[in-house]
Amino acid sequence: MSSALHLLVRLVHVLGMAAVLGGMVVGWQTLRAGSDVPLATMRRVEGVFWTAMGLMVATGVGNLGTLGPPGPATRWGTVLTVKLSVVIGVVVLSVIRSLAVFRLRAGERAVSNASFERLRFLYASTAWGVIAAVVLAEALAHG
Amino acid sequence: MDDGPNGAGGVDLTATFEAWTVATFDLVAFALLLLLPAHLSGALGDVLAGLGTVPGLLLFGYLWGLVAVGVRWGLADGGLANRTKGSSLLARGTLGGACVGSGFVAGVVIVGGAVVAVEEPSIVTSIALFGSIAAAVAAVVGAVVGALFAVVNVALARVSESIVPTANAVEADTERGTRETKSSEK
Repeated sequence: MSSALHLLVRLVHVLGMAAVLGGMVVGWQTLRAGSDVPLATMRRVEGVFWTAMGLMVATGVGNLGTLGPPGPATRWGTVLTVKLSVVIGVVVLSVIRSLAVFRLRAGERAVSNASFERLRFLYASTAWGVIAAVVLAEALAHG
Repeated sequence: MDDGPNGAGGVDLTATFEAWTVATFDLVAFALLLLLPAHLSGALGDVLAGLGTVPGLLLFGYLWGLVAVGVRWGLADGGLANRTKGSSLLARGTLGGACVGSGFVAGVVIVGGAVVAVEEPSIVTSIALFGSIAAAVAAVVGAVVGALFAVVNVALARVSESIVPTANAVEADTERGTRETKSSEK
């Protein structure tokens, strides 16, 4: 029962990561594709992103509880410190991006190409930040 | 596909998405900002060892629900974009935080107390007294945290406004620039 629960917690954590990374790549590529931006889809991507992020933090803490984190001075502890810092950066970048997406309105003529470029940069930055977190998670799991 | 602000049922989904985003951000940021110092101080292992996986997930889910309701109420007066009501956002953030804090502790004490009281009914009065004091303390802590996050949320919303200026903001800037040009020509 206990091992099945831990497997389920890890599964939710990994699926959450897939949803977050996938959503960011979709947003990035959607804005790259051209001027016809599906705003409803982008808003839903943001909604899914935050649901997945909440689940990942909950299950991430559960994983830490199961593994029993060693002290911060160990190599494992240092990697965890870096990973938590990266995640905090991703979260702050993401709320700025999400609130910016919610400001977009269909057919709004004053939204400039520069705004879309900035949004695209935020999607790309988040995607790379999430990839960095995945690499660090892999080091924590197998290193 | 509907690209407008409203969903299929004509409900303003943008406000719902904004409240969900802000609520989850507040919760996730709060959790991470507790987690990192706890890890750096070496106390994280001891804290997590005393909390099982299922109780931990249930507590997190309960807090998430409370924060979602609190933020939804806090942003009901025009959302983060309503700059003219900054004091209202701060007041609602403070009050919402106090309700979330006391609601969280009260829920935990009621459930935990009920489990204990089944085996030892005489302890109910003590649990009620302890729960009331704990809920009051949690309300104060929640109010402070709620006020801090209200300020942070507004600051981050302003950063997002600089990334995607709305039509109104752009037009206002243009009008301001035109007026300044005319006055300098005079």
